[in-house]
Amino acid sequence: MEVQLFRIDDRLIHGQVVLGWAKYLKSKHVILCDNEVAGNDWESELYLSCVPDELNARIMNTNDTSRYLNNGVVEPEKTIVLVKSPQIVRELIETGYRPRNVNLGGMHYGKNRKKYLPYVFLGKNDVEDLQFCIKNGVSIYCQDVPNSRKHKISNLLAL
Amino acid sequence: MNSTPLTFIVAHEDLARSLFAAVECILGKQQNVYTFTNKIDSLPVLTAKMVTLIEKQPELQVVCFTDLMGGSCWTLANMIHQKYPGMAVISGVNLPMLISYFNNCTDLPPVQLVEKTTNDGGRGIIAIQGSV
Repeated sequence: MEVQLFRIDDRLIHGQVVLGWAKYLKSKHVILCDNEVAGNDWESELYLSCVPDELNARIMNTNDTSRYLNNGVVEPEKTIVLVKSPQIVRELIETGYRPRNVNLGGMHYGKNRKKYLPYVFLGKNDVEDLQFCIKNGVSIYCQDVPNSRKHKISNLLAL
Repeated sequence: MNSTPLTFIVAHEDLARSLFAAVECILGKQQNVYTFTNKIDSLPVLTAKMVTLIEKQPELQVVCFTDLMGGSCWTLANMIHQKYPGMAVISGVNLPMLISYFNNCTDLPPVQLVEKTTNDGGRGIIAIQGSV
């Protein structure tokens, strides 16, 4: 079964996710998939401290996330998965987990990144990773908050 | 009298700039204050901007105000604090808090300044219940 929301957001756990999406979707679980954060106790604690009491959060590296999502998540219909870049989605696909729908919710300005939407700035590698995901059957749409307009990434990349 | 601390206000959308404009409207021009929005820049870009300012004036006390505890501005400030533990981080920034801070920032020692600022921010919140 597909998770409730699979989101690319370079800010990982923050207000838009735990106050915006999680409240709107009435989510119960958040999985933060990131090798760097998973390998750093201090950063893990920092992100976990941002999670409201009503949400159960776990932080896992890419391999563990892929295994966990493939082996049956507890209440997938109440679970949000967060990754910080399209590269992580690509890595998950390569390690055996392919999400059907991906929400691109925030990739902010950085050097050599082109603006596609006010909250979507992509570099060359990001675009290549997104194209890889699309070729592998992943449907990707941009939407920052629950009541904003959805944009199909394929339409934006064609510009 | 101490030097004015290096002061950051980091918040969503135009909140930091507007809050600081309100401070200057009430107290007049302030020094060493930088406002940031998380609207466009990625967190590494914002971090680099703030770290550059800290490293330019290493002798100064640094105080960073953020709006929402647990939000990306707060996470960013905590990450900088880990590298520069001398930087104080205060979340829940509001106008009474900033007014108190700028009124005392050159007079109080760092620890007392942060305590008073935080307390005065809380004291500025008073509810008068509407009749039901």
